Amino acid sequence: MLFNSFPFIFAFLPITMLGYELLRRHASRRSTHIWLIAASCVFYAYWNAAFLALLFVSIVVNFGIGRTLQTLANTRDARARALLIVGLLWNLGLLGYFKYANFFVDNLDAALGAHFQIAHIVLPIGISFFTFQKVAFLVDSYTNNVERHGFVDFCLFVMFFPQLIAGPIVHFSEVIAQFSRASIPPAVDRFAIGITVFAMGLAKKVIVADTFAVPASAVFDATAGGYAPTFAEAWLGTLCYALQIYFDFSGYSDMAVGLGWMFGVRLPINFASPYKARSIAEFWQRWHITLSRFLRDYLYIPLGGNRRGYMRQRVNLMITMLLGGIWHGAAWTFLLWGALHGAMLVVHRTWERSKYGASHTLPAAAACCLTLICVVLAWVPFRAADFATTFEMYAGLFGLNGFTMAHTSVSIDSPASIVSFVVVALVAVLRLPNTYEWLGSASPGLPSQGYPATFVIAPERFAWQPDRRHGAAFALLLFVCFVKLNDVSPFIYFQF
Amino acid sequence: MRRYLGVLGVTLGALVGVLVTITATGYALGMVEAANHDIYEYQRAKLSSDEPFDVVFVGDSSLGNAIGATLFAKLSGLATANLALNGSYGSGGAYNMVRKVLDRHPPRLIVVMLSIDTMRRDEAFPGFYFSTEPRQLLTASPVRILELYFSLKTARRVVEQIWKRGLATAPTRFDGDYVTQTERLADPSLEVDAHPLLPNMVAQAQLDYLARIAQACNAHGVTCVYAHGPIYEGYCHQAVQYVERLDAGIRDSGLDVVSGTPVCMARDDVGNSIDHVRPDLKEAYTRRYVELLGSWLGRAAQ
Repeated sequence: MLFNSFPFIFAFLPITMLGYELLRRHASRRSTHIWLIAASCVFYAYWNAAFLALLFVSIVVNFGIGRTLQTLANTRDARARALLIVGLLWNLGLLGYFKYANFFVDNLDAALGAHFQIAHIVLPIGISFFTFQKVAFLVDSYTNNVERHGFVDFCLFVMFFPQLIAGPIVHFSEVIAQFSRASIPPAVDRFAIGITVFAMGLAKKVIVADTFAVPASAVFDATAGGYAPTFAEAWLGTLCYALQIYFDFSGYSDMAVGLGWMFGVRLPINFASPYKARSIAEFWQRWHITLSRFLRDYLYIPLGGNRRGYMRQRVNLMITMLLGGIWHGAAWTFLLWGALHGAMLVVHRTWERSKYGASHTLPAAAACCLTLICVVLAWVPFRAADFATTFEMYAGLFGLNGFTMAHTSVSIDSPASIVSFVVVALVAVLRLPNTYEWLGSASPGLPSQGYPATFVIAPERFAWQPDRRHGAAFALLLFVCFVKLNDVSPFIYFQF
Repeated sequence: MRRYLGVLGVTLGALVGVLVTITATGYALGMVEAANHDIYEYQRAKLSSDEPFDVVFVGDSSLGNAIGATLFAKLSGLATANLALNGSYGSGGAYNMVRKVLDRHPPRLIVVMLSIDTMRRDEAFPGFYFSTEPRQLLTASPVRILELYFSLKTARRVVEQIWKRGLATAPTRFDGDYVTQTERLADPSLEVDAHPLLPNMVAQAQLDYLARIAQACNAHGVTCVYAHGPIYEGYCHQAVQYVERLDAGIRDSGLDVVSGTPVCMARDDVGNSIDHVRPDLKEAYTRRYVELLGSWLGRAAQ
């Protein structure tokens, strides 16, 4: 079920909230947990009920292994290590089978000409996210960083619907205490703040992201069909995609946080104005923060991080980003995207440590501009259908196919208004406070240690206030969003 | 917080209320094509007599403009009714007409005839909703109904119409089986260039109602077949793959496709739309469809 759909907004959410509030007032805390699990099952099954069984089996296996690891914690004996490896293999094996088996076989077939054939495997929605969540849980259990909790609590941790499909990738310790606490803010406060954050996200998705999706698709699809885009077309398409994915993912993250808050749970901030970053390293402290945090804590640091010398650190960075790239999808283009980001991080680290880099820093605006251009250029393989499209787009971006949009065969309606919209959106993402800064006083999201952009202070001039003026403004915003729900489109990150 | 939430709720409720009132007014007054009550009531009235039909046609305007029921009955020797609605009703409207026909006197043969252009329209539910009986609405999803009334596009169209013509709507004129055609399409080839039909455009929502038609026919033991309505020949050349995909979808839904359809119209045969036969050629096209349906009619006559 999509957050930006009529069934979710007008049926699922009101019923779930009503049931939750009734149970919270008149029944035990455990019953509210069971209610939320049941609601999450409906939410997930709405897409494909068959995979609910897979999710449930995976939860049972992980709970069993996690429990045993918690019992063996601190002993550091071989059994615990072996069990952890079994648990990791189970989770990564499932992910590997559903997400990469077709890709692997297709490439093996192409390389060897062996005519291997397997049926098309349907990717269970959200598997990339809940797999990482459970991997983190097992490792934290092994290192004795989680408290013991019952099966219902664990089930809710994995299945809690605001974060089930596309993150944020939460840690057990981040949310479990919130599920279990005796008192939560009053329903009116939770709903008021939650609906405000949700409305911000919904507006980003249905008003902005979906608008940019049209010209972005027009350019990339035409290029995939063999068209050679000009400089103007390629830049317009790429910038539109950069803004589409920005507002799409930012919108989704806001909606998840808003929904979590409606049920008294502060989910971690996953998105903190990434295009304001002044370096590629800072970009990754602002974009998909919970993925970045997972990759840092469960891949980069265990690989040795920066503790094993200059060269090894660079190799670790590249491995981390390559795996981060392929995590997004089973395609070489995602690997290229990861490689580009890995290379940019290596260059940035090398520059920082060089004598010249240590004594010279770019002005903030120039650093931000340079970072943004690099990130935008790297989105090309992320969006492109294949390498051929990627290289044709790059040819356009570097002016190798001509410059103007005259006699274009790309069907973009009113390019002038789209250019204006791009300019306005760029100014907004670079200059305006983000949702969490704007709602700073309400602090709906959870900051992450080591990610300074998630520790927000509300700027006074723009701060949100729960007054009549804001109430009317948000009513208008929600109304505009509702009338656009008829043109529903899925979130980009749902496909990962 | 209470005041904030209160203002938010009341303002949102008021805005939604205004929107829903406008769209509901438009639907009630028949200002929107899918809610064109005149055509629906006109065709439904044909079912109010006790006269049994052997062959019943249901579908859209491509049917309404191509088949003359009186001539068809004369040529086939079978009592025939043409219950064509329009493209906005789509297969959802056709399904409801089939149900009404089956509930009355099940005929020997039901021919579903829709334009290939109708089968690319993503929405089939409005047609179902606006041609359904109130008791049937119990089985319709309330969320789908809500979606219908939450349409800014519809509201805008209604406001424009009220602005231009007030609440009065022009009465629909009928000529025999269907709505009277007034003017001709200037250049149908421009339509092909502007709106080509591609294989990925076949609308599953339309096919879903065809499957429901097939189920209803099977349940009543009535033979139901699908015949594409006539279409401008430019589309016959352009949309070969689309038609192949569409035919496969129709067969999967449980209906046989009458071979030889869609009938391709020469440029001069085209009336006021790419899938409307010129009124003076209706007889010729009726004869053509009698030929194409020959084997089905033969079985129905036995």
